[in-house]
Formats: sequence, C-alpha cells, structure tokens
Amino acid sequence: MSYEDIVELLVPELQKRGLMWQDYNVPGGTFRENLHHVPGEPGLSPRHPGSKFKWNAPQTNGKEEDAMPVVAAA
Amino acid sequence: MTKGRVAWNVSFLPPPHRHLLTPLKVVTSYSNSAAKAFGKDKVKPSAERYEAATEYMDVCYQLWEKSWEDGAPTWQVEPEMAYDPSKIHRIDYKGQHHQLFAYGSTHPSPQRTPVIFQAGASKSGIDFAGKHAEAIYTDYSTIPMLKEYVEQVRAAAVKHGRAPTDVKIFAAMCPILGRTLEEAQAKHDKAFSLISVQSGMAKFGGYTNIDLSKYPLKEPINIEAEEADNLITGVLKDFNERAKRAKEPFTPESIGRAGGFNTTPKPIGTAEMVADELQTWFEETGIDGFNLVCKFAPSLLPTARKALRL
Repeated sequence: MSYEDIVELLVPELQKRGLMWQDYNVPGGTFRENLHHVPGEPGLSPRHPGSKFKWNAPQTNGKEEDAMPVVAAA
Repeated sequence: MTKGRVAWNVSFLPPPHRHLLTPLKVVTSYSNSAAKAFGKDKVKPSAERYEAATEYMDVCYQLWEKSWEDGAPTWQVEPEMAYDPSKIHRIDYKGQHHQLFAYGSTHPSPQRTPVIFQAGASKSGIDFAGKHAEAIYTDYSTIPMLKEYVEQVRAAAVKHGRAPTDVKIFAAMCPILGRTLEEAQAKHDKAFSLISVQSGMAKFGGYTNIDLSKYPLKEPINIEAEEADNLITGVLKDFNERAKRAKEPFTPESIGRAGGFNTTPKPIGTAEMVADELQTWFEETGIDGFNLVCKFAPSLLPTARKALRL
C-alpha cells in the first residue's frame, strides 16, 4: 500500500528468496550500466539503433540504411 | 550533474512539437484535446504518430551522439576556450515531421543518450519499443496478457537486430501489505471505500471514448470498445478482456469503481503471500522487474512538509 510497507516488509522477503538485488550491479556507475549489467558501457549498446549516430561511428559511405533524411553534413 | 543516472521518459504529442519534452515515458499522446491544445484539428493515427516519433528519436540521437565529439569540452582557461569548436558539429535534419538545423545545446553526459524508457501497447508501439526502448513500463491485469505482450516486445527487439533482453520490462504491481492478512485486507478495504466512482468513469471515458454518464448508473451495460486513433490501445484491450471474464455484467458504477481504483494487480497479504504472487508473475511472464504503484503514503506527507518547510 505504501512505499514504507514495501521497504519494511516486502523487500527483506524478496531478498531472502534471492529475487531482489542487495546492491547495485555497478556501484557508482551510470543508470545504463546498472540496468543492463554492463560495467564500462555507459553509452548506447552497439546493437541499439541510436549507436549508428555516434560521432566516431564507422563511415558507411553514404549508405546509411536508416530513414535519416540528412540534407547536408555540417 | 548526476554522473549519468538519468533516464529519458518522453511523451510525444502530435507532431511537430519537438520542443515538448515532458518528464514522462516515450509514449505518443492519444487525445484530441491534446492535439487541439497544440493547434491541430485532431490526433493523428497511431502509426503516423510513431513515424513522427521515429524521426524525433533520430534527431535526438544525432544531437546527443554526433554533435559533440569526445574531448570537445576543454575547460581551458588561457587562452580561454571552454569547448573546442572544431569538435562540435551542426546537425541538419529535414524529415516529414521534424526539421532541425542546430547544434547540441550542451556537452554530453556520461551516458550521452539517456536510458530510453517507453510505454505503448499498440502494434506500432510494440515495434517502436523493439527498436528504441531500453526499458518499458507496462500495466496488465492478467498473467496471460502480460506474457503475450512480453513475447511480442522480445520478438520486436530481435526483428530490429537486438537481443531479446536488450529491452527490460517492468510491470506495474500494487502490493497491499500487512503484518497479517487481516491487516492488509483492512488497508485494501479502506482505500477501496475512498474511491470516487465519478472520477473513475471520467478516466475511463478519456481512455476509451465511451461516455458512461449516458447510461443508468447501476444497470448492466454491454459495451465492446472499438479501436480508434484517440484512445489508448492497452487500456482498451485490457477492458475487453476483463469484460469477457467478468462473473457479473458491468455497470457504469462498477466500471467507475474499478477505474477509480485502477486495474493494476493488487496482491493482498503478508510479505510471504505477496512475494509468492510477485514470484509467480515474474516466473510465468518473463518480465525483468516490477514498477511498484502505491495507493497512498500518509506517513510520508509530514516528512515531506517538514523538508519543504510548508
């Protein structure tokens, strides 16, 4: 019902069953590193479609298959 | 500022409103009133909204990922140069729904693109999630419905060249806990007794386009909600499914009461009982976690007031 009930009653039970984490996967890391359990990868995964826009992504000789209607490179 | 602990929870209104970033999830807005508020006649069809959203994402990715090279911020005092201009690039974008001719407005955070959170149960919404979402918030009232949704999202991720688990799925759950079952049940009953039926009916109308005030409050009604551009697909599916399973026919009052209390699953009981329920949902549906919903948190209010000096 309240978050206090969850913290005081439910969390210890879930931790006892090994269903809930005890600490962050990557203490001090970014949200992404913790969410995906990927220490050292704070940016988009190479599998994510946004990663092809990275400033240092390999050039594709104008063959970018995305529907990206860029009119001119800056 | 937060050392990379931010997620992007964005809502898309009908295009072109690229200035509108709200602290919500990546969902496309559904209501005609929202469209009118932004100068449009009516909301666009779901598929077209997601086309606009896809362009929007591409624009944002470029601003976050491409505009500033690593090493662009130099913070050099003498000669003064905070950012190296040779490492900052303009993004030119001309799409059907969005146009942009600009630089990223600030230097990149540790994550560059923040974690993409999304919600959306329509066919386009699931495809969009499979492509873009890193995490999803969802809310289903039965295990089979949630399981089906999870399978669809994982398949959509694979279709877009990603791993099925690249999208973390968090399902809404509203546990009602007590040290005994009786204590938990009493909390449930108290919350249930405080529901506004009218507000539940109004909320239902907003989600589904069905105005329940036209029908007698306590008499059974038989309605099958139909898909349209200006409603939320997930709510509609859930409603039709519940109508099929209901032991007693729905009345406007019972719908309003359910809507006022929301349809999020509410396991009631001790920590052990609720943990059993959560474990069942977790193991049978293939989700990654829960998004815990609370009915109220009375003991937090005085603390918050004190902190805010109210």
